[in-house]
Amino acid sequence: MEELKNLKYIKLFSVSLLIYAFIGGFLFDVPALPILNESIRVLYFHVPMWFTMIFLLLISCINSFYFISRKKIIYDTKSYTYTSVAVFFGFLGILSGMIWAKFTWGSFWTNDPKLNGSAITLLIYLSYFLLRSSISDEIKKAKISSVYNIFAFAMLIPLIFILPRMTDSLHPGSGGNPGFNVYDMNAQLRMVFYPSVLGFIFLGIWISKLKLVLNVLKNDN
Amino acid sequence: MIIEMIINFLSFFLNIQVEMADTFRSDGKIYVVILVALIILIGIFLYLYRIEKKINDMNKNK
Repeated sequence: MEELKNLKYIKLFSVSLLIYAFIGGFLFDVPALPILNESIRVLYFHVPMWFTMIFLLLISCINSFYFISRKKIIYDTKSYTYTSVAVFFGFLGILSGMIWAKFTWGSFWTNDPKLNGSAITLLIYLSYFLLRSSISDEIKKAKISSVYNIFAFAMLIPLIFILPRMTDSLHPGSGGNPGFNVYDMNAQLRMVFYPSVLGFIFLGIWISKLKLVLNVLKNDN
Repeated sequence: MIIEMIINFLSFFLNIQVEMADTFRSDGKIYVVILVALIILIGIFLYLYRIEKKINDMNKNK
């Protein structure tokens, strides 16, 4: 399969970075902060889920654009596959975040704008699957779901990036960009955090490529 | 509210221990990290298992 040809380096990077992230995530020094304590290490596993989700959704959105401009069904299959893997990572992000919230903020779900925003985003993407399964004509399904997918990605940006930063949020980054904030993350955390993000993104691509082969074969049958 | 205040006031003198899930929060909450890492790993494994099952089903149908 052509899709699996360039997977060698992705697999290699994913495995080595994730092994490093899991070892470093548990053993390396972290800043000692009240309330968070050692659970600050959850950062290495919870946040990469969202980075992976957003990265895969971006690829999915680009493929939807390709489908609309080039009218080849393979782009729609790609976009569908990336979205399904991305939503899976989103659910892992919600689950891990709920556990973390229970032991630091005191409850599984708070009315934090970022939590509600990400929940709405996941619901929007779940209705993408409903929309797809409700249309039986292949071309029509591909066209409508491509347009919906682009709309959903356009909704994701304000819901996850803009709105939570405009109000008070328990998440870091309210009133600014957490990426450039030296108080939220120091060099120690970044040393494991970025490899972990890359490792999970590569893992997401790896799973997506496998699923893509499955979906392409399914379409051919 | 008032009863709560009285209980708080009394417990300060009587040194009453409130029962909490302290064992899970002990050792600086490191078990939370282990739980989260496990959830993510198990989630990924189940997802891969589902993909494998779909592939096997497709091979059978051929």
